[in-house]
Amino acid sequence: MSDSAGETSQISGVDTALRIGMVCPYAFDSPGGVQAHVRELSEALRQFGHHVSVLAPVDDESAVPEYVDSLGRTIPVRYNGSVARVAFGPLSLNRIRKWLRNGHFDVLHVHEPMAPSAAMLACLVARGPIVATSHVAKHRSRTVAAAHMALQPIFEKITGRIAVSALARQFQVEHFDGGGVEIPNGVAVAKFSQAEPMPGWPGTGGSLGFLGRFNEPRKGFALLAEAFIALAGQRPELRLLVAGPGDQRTALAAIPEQIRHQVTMLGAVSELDKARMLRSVDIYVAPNLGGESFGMVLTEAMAAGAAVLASDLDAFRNVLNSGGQYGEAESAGELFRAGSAEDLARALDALLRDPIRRTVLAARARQTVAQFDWPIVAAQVLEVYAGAIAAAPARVEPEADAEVVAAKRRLPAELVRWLRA
Amino acid sequence: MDYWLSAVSLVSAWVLYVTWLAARLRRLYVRVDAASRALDAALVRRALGVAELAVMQPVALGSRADATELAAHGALRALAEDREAAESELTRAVQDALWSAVLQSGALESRELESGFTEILTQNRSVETARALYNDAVRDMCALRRRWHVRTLRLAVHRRRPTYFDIDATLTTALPQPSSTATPVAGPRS
Repeated sequence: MSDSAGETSQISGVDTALRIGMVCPYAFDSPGGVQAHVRELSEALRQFGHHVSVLAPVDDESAVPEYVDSLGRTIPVRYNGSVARVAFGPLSLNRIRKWLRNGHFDVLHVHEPMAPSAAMLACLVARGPIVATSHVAKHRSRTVAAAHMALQPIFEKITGRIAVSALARQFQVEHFDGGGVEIPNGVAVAKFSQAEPMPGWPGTGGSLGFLGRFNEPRKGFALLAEAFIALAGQRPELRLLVAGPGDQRTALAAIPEQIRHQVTMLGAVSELDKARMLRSVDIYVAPNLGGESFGMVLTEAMAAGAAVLASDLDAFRNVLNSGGQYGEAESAGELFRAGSAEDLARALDALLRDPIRRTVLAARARQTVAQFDWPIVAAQVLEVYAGAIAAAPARVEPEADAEVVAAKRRLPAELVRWLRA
Repeated sequence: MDYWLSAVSLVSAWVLYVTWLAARLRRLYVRVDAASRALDAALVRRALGVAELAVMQPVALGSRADATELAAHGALRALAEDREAAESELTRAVQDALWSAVLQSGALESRELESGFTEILTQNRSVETARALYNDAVRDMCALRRRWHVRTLRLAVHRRRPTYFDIDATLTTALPQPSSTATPVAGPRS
């Protein structure tokens, strides 16, 4: 571990330890993709020897690591199709100012600054090198389009922009005309590759895995159920392992009584159990119908060493093909036609018959997923930090009264210049 | 009285707004300037790195060593108006050398091979980052300059309009696919 960390910090080109201030918009102790991203990125950066301080709203102070500064309790806000718990208001503003003043940061990294949150406030009051990561996974937002003029002054203070996927980048291009650098989401490879499979799994009869909200139609669980029913008739040993929150009874209703014992529902799982679940299956199936930005779960299944069978969405294709030198021919997983249960059943049948093919896919997946490992991804983020620091050579500071005083002093000169022009 | 009061408050609000616009403009100029200097430094580092590799380790570049060195010197000498073309030329020269090295060594040793190019690839990535940061700054600047107030009050008239820096800067160890129409290096990634 230390060896590879040394190597990557060499790649990153940042020799001195940086003081990094990171702002997480959502309650740090509640589950969520952005929070996991912030936590794992901060830990990877700390392993490189950098100083990281995270400012985030926290509901339960005992549940967060020591490098997190609490911004207080949260209020629920609707954003990006779900309810987010954020802290927003004058009290937060004051705390952010104080945190910025005391932190002496070389770079400020905010996450999802276009949502009304602490990240946006931090952008508003800070000056110096600011890096922002956009996580959104959808095309257009009417709210953001309407607020475009009001958000532009905040957006233009950001020195370095990162998007976690092509879709997130597209979102910035459409709304603000500025794309930034695309850096994929990281995955803690070791956590998944070293997890202990559940007792008795994967077994010898073949086991399939599905992870996610199975009641949500676009996740495609119905498709998998249909293919599973078609296959389970001839394969009494075939098993299906499902994890994720949702109403299990309606999901199971689609599956005939006599094969229902071949399906195991785990319900919502912790991060550790998720890793164990992914280690317990031969084939991980991602039958999603659309709306995926990056395919985080694919990288996790790949890290766990499962053979991946996914619908042919662009996001999935990109993740699976990103490893080899020859693209598609070296894909780290198989694709089937999105939305087609027959095609899924056919592909599953072929994979179940061919253990060698599964081994090849799993080996390629391990190779491909290495580039999404957090040390590698964090090194790329450090490159953006270095670029932002070079492009805004100053410390991060709260943009306080000093700015106003300076503006007043400059005003007569500006007036003269304007009259002459 | 009320009439005057509201007129005065309207005018002062307007003055405040214009002052704020001017402050934003100034801040963006500082940002564009600094980003431009950072981009320049990254480009020079890359060209020097390539030139050094061509002189110190011509083996790594194979038969492309001369062409690559020439492109590096061309990039270092280029004047402002030819800079984009010269830097793109350098990217293409390095990419050619990289591909022929990948082909010669075969896919198996590609990891070892990369090590000769590691420094160049790193420097190239910082060029890509610096270019993205600079172009984003220019884009924000242009958006603000297009605003009605900025144009009519000629707030930005005494400063030069910044221009985008548009070059090919993508290096890849992946070989171009015979089936696809576009090679990875073709076309700038804005």
